[in-house]
Amino acid sequence: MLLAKRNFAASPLFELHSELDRLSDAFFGRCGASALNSVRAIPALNVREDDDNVYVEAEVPGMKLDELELTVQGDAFGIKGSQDAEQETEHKFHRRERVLTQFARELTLPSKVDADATEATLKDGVLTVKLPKAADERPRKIEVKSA
Amino acid sequence: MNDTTIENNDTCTTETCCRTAQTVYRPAVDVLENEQEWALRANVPGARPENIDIDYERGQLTIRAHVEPRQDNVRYALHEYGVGDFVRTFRVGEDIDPESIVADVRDGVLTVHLPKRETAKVRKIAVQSA
Repeated sequence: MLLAKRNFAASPLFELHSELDRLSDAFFGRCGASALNSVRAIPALNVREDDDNVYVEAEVPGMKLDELELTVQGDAFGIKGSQDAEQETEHKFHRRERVLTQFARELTLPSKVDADATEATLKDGVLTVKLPKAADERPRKIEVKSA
Repeated sequence: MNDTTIENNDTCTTETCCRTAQTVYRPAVDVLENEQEWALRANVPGARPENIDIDYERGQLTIRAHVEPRQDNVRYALHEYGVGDFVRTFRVGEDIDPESIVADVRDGVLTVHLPKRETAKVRKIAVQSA
């Protein structure tokens, strides 16, 4: 089942949405963004690394920096988001798919990092966290001297 | 009374996706209404304001947000989302005034305001006692 592949909070809302997407895909054929692509995990995370750093990227549209909480220890990374539900007293909802208000995720990074040197930036709803690798985890170049 | 004046209309056109091999994504959207307007809120993380296009033509509203690739040829330790353009089309009822549509984007959330025509606004009629 589709949901199993994605990292969803188990919520009937998601299932409904996913079901609707599948239905509309069935109607509109293969050209639309596929159901797999159209529904994203909350928050979707990408993790990449180079020799010196690990980078965690999260899509958190509508979130402010002070609504996000990051925890880093060793190779454990945690992200929490908490947003007051948008006050919508004067509007009536006809469709509600944006559900990113409360979330928490934890993951193991590909290597241990230096928590104190972590930098996070938030731009256009994308959070990028740069985590320098712990000194003893970085690849070392060993010079070979000729005798 | 039709209460779904803004309807999802994800029919595929060659213009939007079939022609290119690139994946496009359908943004999560809220549709709201009050007495004055209809409003759409769409998640378009990573899209710069100058890269967002909103077209209204014959009752169809299309939002298109181009998202620049954030890095090339990277090997991901974890890869949960792809980066690409967001496209979604809606059928819009006749009770809105196309000339007055305005939009803004903040923190990766696009908001489109579609004010209702004067004639479509609910009017309160005072009932007077005789």
